[in-house]
Amino acid sequence: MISMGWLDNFLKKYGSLIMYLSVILFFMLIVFIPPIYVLSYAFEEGFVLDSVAKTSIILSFEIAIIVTLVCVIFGLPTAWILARKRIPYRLWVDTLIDLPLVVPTAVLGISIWLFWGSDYGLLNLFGITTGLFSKGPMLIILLHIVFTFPYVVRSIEAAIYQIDMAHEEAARVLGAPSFTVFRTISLPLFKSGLISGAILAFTRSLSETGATMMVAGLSQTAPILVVTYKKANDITSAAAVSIILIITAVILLLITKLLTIRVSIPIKRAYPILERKLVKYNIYRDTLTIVFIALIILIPTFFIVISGINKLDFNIGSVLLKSILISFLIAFFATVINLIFALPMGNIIARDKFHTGPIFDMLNDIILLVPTSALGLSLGLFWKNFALNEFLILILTHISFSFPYIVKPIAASISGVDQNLIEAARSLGATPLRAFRTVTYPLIKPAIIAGIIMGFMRSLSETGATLAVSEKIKTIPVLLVEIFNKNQFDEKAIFTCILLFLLSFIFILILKKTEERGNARHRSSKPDQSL
Amino acid sequence: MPDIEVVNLTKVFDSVVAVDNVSFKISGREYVALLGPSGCGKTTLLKMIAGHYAPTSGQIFIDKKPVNEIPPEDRNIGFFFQNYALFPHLTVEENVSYGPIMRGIGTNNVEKIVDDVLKTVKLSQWKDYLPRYLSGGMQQRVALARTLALGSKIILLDEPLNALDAKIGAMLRYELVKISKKMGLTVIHVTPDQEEAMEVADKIIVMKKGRIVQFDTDYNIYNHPSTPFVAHFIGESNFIIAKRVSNFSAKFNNTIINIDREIKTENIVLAIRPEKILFEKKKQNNLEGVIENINFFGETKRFEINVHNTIISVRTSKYSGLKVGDRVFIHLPPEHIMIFENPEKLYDELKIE
Repeated sequence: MISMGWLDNFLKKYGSLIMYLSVILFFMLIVFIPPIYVLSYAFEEGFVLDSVAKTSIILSFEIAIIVTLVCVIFGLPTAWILARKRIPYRLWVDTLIDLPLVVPTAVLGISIWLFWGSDYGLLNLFGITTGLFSKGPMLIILLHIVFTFPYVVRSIEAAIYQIDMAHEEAARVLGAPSFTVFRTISLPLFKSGLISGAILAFTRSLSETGATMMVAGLSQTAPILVVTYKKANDITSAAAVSIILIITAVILLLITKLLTIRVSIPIKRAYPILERKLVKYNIYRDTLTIVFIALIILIPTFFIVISGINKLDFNIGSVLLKSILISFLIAFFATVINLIFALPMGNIIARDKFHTGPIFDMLNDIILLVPTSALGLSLGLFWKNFALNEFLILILTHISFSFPYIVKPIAASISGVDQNLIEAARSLGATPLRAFRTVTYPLIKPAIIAGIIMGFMRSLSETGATLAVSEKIKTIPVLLVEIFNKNQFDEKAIFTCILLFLLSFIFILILKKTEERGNARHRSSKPDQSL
Repeated sequence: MPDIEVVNLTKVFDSVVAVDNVSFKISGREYVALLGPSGCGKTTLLKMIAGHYAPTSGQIFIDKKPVNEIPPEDRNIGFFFQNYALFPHLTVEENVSYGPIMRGIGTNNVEKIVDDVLKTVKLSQWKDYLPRYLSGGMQQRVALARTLALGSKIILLDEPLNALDAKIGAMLRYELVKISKKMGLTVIHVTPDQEEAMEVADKIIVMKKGRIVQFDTDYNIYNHPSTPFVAHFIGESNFIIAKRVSNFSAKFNNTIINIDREIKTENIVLAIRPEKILFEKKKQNNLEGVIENINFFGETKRFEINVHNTIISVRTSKYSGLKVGDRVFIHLPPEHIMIFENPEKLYDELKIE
């Protein structure tokens, strides 16, 4: 009994320290180090960047730049309308726009190819039976726009919500027409959201592998080249390309973070007459935005459901079924393990424990920025040192790249919980753990659910990283890419796609409903229509 | 003369009626306080006049011209926001010059206007600072400077002194009135604080639940409140439920109370301000009770006296020797007793929200 008392005291004194240390240990060893392990190959011999590698890296950057520009140009008005205008069925509109976030990219790839590239797509409606675009850069751009658009809209929309509308009203009464208000007041205030959305879009486009492989045809982007090198067992070259992608991504992140602080928008130059006229064109802006969302984002996303519905075969082959099962098992295990560690990690970031909050926040950002095929390669190389079972390696891989998706919303939500509430609970006699369970947890529950769904769907749909790690075991996106590229795409595969699609839809709808309930509780004011 | 008139103005949010069929007219150079409990529709009314909210129905006239269709940037109305709404990314100088620049005034003139206005609010040496480095009182003056720099003759102030310490607030009240009188401005000043309203305004509009209850001079609002709510919300009043005995007298618990005004209905509410009641026993209108509580206010004391289970408060500076538990006589002077009808509605009427 004496020794128990000693243990009790020890735990009381060091319990939370031990917990946080083990969380940090988990994060560094399982989540953070493996994705950047590939950097160690940079110093091996034979590091030559041939012309093929150069061309594909340049192509990747060109595509990412175009995609980011298009997304920002159309994402700005979309986010503005969503945040500031009263629109009917806003939950559904919001859900539709966010749908490509969770639909597995392999399914998106097929749907977009069917719409733009196949013989039964867009032009078929006009009686022409050839595809509009053949596989290549144009299709890659169209595909990337679809799945990066929600990132841009989401982060701009969130930033616009943060702006106190009184600022915009104040500018209006001071004589600024609405476009001038947007340029001189709103834009500077949500600039950071715009930039972080653009960074996300850029890096997602730069790094996407699986779906890109489906629509790339003969052209090779850098992530595809990594897969090609890996298949040829040329690890050094694959590592070289990965390193270039990782380093540019990190440099870009740093530059844009600096730019956010530096660049300011001049107010001295006002063009009241010209900008007053611009307001009249709002209707064209809105129409163009709606056409863009419908034609470029929504219809191509849904096309697989529309075109596949009449040739449904409710019999999934055993191979496909096995893959679906594997995918769900991996996503389940990865999400459960991540959730256990993401809660304390969210606390470390939000409450700046041990003054390491910003560091871990940044480390999580870096994982998001690493191109998935490079990430997969790195994880594969790292875990193969330990001669582990392949299924276990896949779970570890998925833990690593889906961790930030669970941590980020939780950390953001915890930092939004008033510290006074926790202090109140403590002074009313709650232990730290009890205070968390009874006060913090109910308040951050919507964020936890959001994190779980984002992490789970990310794990379920990730292709590039899995492709780079897996040898015998194939998850469902990997299998779909393989079938598609071998031209063995049949009704069973289409049915699988539609199934995954509907599943994503249900998940995102749950996510939206939870979010809405959370918002309704926290936000009482709502935007009003202005003149 | 820049005057403001609103006719049958109504604003409905979803299904909540925020402003309910409001009409009034404010002449040029008048300083009017818009007074009412929070949530009564004051800010909504103000924002409709400025053009931020479109009215559900009704008309707004500025300078006798209808402005319903004119966007806020073309109404030329100065608006002071609750919590100031200073642009956080712009310096004090840039905040103040925003209005003149948007009006298309040349650079040289803008500089002169900004210098003048900043001098008026005594903030010239702070012009290069961002708002967040300034104290609350200074931010309030920047917001005022920004509003004044517009050069508009109509200024709408939305709870301008709300977020300030009582002392600083009291000082700035005086400044506000001085500046607006000097510049010949027409002002609507929204406040939930009756003392502030009495101090700054020529006239007071009292609002409750989206409707105007009374619009009159501060003297009349205090001495001739139109409803028990006004009597209760502005200053303090004692309410006594009584029964009519004759044209000029009523009965409260076997005591006959004589009144200077004519009583028209059977059941009435008598109201009297605490400072009008005297600790004396005269020929008539005397009540006997026990002191239950005493509050000290410096120059005066407030006594709560239980008269037949109705608490009557008395405020006076002549209080020598009285203490809790004492049995006292109080006298209600007939000329200070107000009469209201419908005692059964009194409780609902007095509810602030």
